[in-house]
Amino acid sequence: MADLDHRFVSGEPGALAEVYAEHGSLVYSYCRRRLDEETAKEVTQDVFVSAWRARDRFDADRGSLRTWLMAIAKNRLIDLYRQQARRPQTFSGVTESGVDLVDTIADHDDELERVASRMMLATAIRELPERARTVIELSFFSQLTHHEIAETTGLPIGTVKSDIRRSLLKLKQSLTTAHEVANV
Amino acid sequence: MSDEWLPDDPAAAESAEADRQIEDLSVEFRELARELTPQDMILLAPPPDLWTAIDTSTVRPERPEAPSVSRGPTSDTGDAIAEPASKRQAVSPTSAAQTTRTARRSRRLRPAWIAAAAAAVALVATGGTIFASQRNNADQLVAQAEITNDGLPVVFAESGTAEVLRDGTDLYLDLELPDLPSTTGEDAFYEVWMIDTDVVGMVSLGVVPSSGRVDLPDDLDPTAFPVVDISVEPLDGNPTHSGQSILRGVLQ
Repeated sequence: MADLDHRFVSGEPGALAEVYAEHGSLVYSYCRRRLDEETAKEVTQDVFVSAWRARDRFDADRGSLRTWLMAIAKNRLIDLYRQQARRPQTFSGVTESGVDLVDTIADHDDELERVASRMMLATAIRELPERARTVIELSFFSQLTHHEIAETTGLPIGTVKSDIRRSLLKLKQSLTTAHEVANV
Repeated sequence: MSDEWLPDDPAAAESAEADRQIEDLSVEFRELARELTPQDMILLAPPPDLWTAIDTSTVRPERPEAPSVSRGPTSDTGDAIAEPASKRQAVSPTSAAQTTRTARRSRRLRPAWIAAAAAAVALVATGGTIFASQRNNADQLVAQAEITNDGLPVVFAESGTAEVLRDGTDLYLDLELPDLPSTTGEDAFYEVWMIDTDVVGMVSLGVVPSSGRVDLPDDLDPTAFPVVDISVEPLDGNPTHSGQSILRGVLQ
């Protein structure tokens, strides 16, 4: 995946198609959490077109393309909330004071950020090698200790620890973004 | 190898620091993982013409082949900006009864009952059609699904089947779950859900009965809620989906 990120930045023919194949479902599903099908389709299109046009702003050595795409998508969703907020008839109960508007948008921003993080985590876990995925799931969701995981899976305790270490680093890499997405 | 940190051993100090960083990451991701909902784990395939729209919007010297992205069931809903995901729309004809469940919190099952499915279930291309097969017996098969634990970390059962049948004018769901362990004596139960193609709403059909037959509400259209999901639910009085899916399949 890292190689694809670099090829995307370099503008290699076919790279955008591969990136879309890799991340299109995730971005679309994220948009679909808040938008109807047609609007989600438009926003997803906008995300990939914008990312392609601004690809020189993405540093493939510093972060994950997936996270960058999701950050762009989140910004688009916030933009739509702002547009909706400016139509008083659809924003009942809230004044148009700057504080109220900012507080509500901030709430949406936080929630959208959290949703994006959860969806990316689920995707990243799914992409782990089978054994590592099993170990991580037992650690995260059944909250087993290393020894309990070793007993459950029959793996040596050292293997469990190394699987967890490598997986956590992989997850961190997948969820890291270090790019400015404003004006993308 | 000793885990003791020796101040005058740079390698051990570096290892200890690395261990702390790993532990911090673990805490961070565990916290996030605990918040995962079924919606977070389902990916929808974009509309087939979306790539074309993206491709034609970018200036390209060569047109690549359309990338292969699984196409999910067709959605024909046209919702406005939906409610936040925290308010999962659990529309349940039996919800009134469920809310009267005794609120008991029990953690003693947690080590054995693995919490929250981590794997996503990609809704693959099915064509979105639900067919009615002609059978000679009295009940007409309307749709069926193999429900499995593929992609789900919970290991209670390998697979089962779910069939929607018509008994006269009434529809019902017939579940066959041959290797699902009994919950007798446990502070938990199995619940069956039907989830829509937009992953916005889910309908609880209630507790999985021993007979395996669950009558469908008159106003429930199986074509609109084709995903059959079996979850394990704690006896906590909370009517919303626990996030602990154990079997799942798509009606065809």
